[in-house]
Amino acid sequence: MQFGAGPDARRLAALAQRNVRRQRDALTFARTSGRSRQPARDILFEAWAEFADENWDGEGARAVSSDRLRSAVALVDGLPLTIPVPEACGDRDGDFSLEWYRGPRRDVSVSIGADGVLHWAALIGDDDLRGSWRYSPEAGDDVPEMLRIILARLYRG
Amino acid sequence: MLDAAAVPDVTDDELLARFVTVKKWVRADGTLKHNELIPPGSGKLSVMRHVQATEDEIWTEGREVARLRAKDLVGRVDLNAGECRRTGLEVIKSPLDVDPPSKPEPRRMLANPNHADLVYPLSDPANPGAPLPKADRMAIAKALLANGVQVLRVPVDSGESTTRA
Repeated sequence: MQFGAGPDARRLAALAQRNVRRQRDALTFARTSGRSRQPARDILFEAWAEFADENWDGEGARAVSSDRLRSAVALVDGLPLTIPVPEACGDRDGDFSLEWYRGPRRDVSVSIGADGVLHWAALIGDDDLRGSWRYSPEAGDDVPEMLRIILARLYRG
Repeated sequence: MLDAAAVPDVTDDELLARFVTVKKWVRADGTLKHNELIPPGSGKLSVMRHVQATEDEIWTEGREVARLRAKDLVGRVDLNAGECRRTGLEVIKSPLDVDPPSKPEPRRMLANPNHADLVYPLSDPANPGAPLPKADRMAIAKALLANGVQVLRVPVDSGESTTRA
């Protein structure tokens, strides 16, 4: 965010920064038991913050809601530690997108959409794997088994 | 640039430039993420045909696109029209007329006879309001980048080399 120069601008910038910190600290996650990956939480939050406002692409993209960030953190927390933290970004439709990338034809993407629906697409060699699943960590849902299998395969060997 | 009065259909051997203005959609190694190629609700993505355009004209159009979005131009990827079709997309010519002077700046576009659309299939051809499921659109975009050119080219005046592997 840019607020220009001068004392008012500096005050606005400080307020905005404080607001971002407050939002991050206020994030509560559905899965409070088990291990927590604090660096993952920070990485996902920072990625999300770039897409949290409407029209972030200058072409009318939808804001990515904090609900989707919460689902992303719960999803990553629910994965084995052998799976690294994904890169994250927004989609034009307001979905929050996670990517595990090891090279061409070796990547898995998950898009966290409306109503907690996960959409995934993976290219691993010649296999094109895709699917959708409603995911509600607040209700105690675990990471979909198919997604665990696909990610385990991506990072095997 | 093409003659606006006689714009031909897009042939399979043509290259199509897609301009990128979202930095997070480019990986550290310079490859493009599929997110750039997921279309908005219309199911269409704008591209610029290389045919009869110089490098300067292509980059000028890229800067114009960035200006309209009030963003920096990160770069462009060049896609092969035939590969787009093999992946399941339609590629149709869609020349742009200059916007009327009544349209306020900065949203007024320049004419571009080389403009074309990549059109994603619908899940139900009888229902134009029914896009393919998201996972299928993601898979198409991934396949397109895996099969075609996916190296980001950056503007020559950016101080970087013209390609990043």
